[in-house]
Amino acid sequence: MPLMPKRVKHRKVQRGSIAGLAKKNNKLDFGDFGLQAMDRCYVPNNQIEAARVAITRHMKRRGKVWIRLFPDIPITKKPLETRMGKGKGNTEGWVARVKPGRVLFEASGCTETVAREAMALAANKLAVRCKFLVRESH
Amino acid sequence: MAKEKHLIPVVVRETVGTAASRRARRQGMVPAVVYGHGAEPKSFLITVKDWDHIAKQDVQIVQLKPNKGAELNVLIKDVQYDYLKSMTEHIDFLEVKMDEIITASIPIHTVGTPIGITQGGTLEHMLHEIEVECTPITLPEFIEVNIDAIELNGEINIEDLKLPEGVTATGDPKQTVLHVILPRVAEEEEEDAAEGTDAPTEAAPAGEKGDATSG
Repeated sequence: MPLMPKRVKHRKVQRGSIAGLAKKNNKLDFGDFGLQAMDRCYVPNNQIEAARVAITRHMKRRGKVWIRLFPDIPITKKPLETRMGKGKGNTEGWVARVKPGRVLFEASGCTETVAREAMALAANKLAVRCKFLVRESH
Repeated sequence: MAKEKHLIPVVVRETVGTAASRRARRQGMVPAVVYGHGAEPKSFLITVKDWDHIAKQDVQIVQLKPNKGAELNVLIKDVQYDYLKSMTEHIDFLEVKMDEIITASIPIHTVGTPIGITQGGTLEHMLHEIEVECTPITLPEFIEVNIDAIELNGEINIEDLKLPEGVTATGDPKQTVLHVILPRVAEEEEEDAAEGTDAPTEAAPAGEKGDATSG
């Protein structure tokens, strides 16, 4: 089951903008290690799932992982070889809007080396430049 | 737990505002403000070197030594950090009297390895710092907790913490600080469940911290 909202108020939304920096969700709140976005972009649900699988498999049951973003923005696309007009296209997928500074994943219960490797694997799955975070008191 | 005095030399700001702050940051200074007790806020500049020395430690109360005027006892109230440039942007200090009761958040440090981990459990920190009430003199820099004796499914609550004399925790005494639990097996997709190798995953709770919506 892909990551997507159970129900939404509006089936289709306009693109909007991803202006500014992350004013919240920009610090480690749960775990000891984290992955922080350094750019702004749309992160689709398949990338989030791929990153989650990469982290959990690398950690091998030795800890806990938090997903700090959710793809709640529908993305639409018009079918191929269709003339313009006739309304907005159908929903093709779901994305999360990510601003610079957003913490994407957090982990705890493993060593820093394992967490760093897991987050590096996850960062490779995401279309955004990322930084590894460690809690200061760790 | 014993406290040493942390003295920071500061310079009184002649000019304030965004442009002046940016100029100061380019010259290796960090803008700061001191407020409290109904007095007019005072603006200072601290060198990055002095601030970095303090920031590396668990320090709550510092003494500011301005180039003009008397020394000030202050509590580090808030620090604005630019995570993209990895630099401190601004510091808020709250002026305190050494005999008044203040509220501050202090970090919790753990010592040892719980027995529960050898029984297959995982140590989980529910709170990384707690809020306490005390005078600045008695305010500890951190609270040390020995976690050697925690067994599987055991926990340490706020009421179990050994706080120094004169220090009281403001939170719910029954609130869990840390516990050792068996790792939960998350509901996985069929292929993952067949392999059975995935660690438990949790979506961050919605709300102020783990807001599920982007924006």
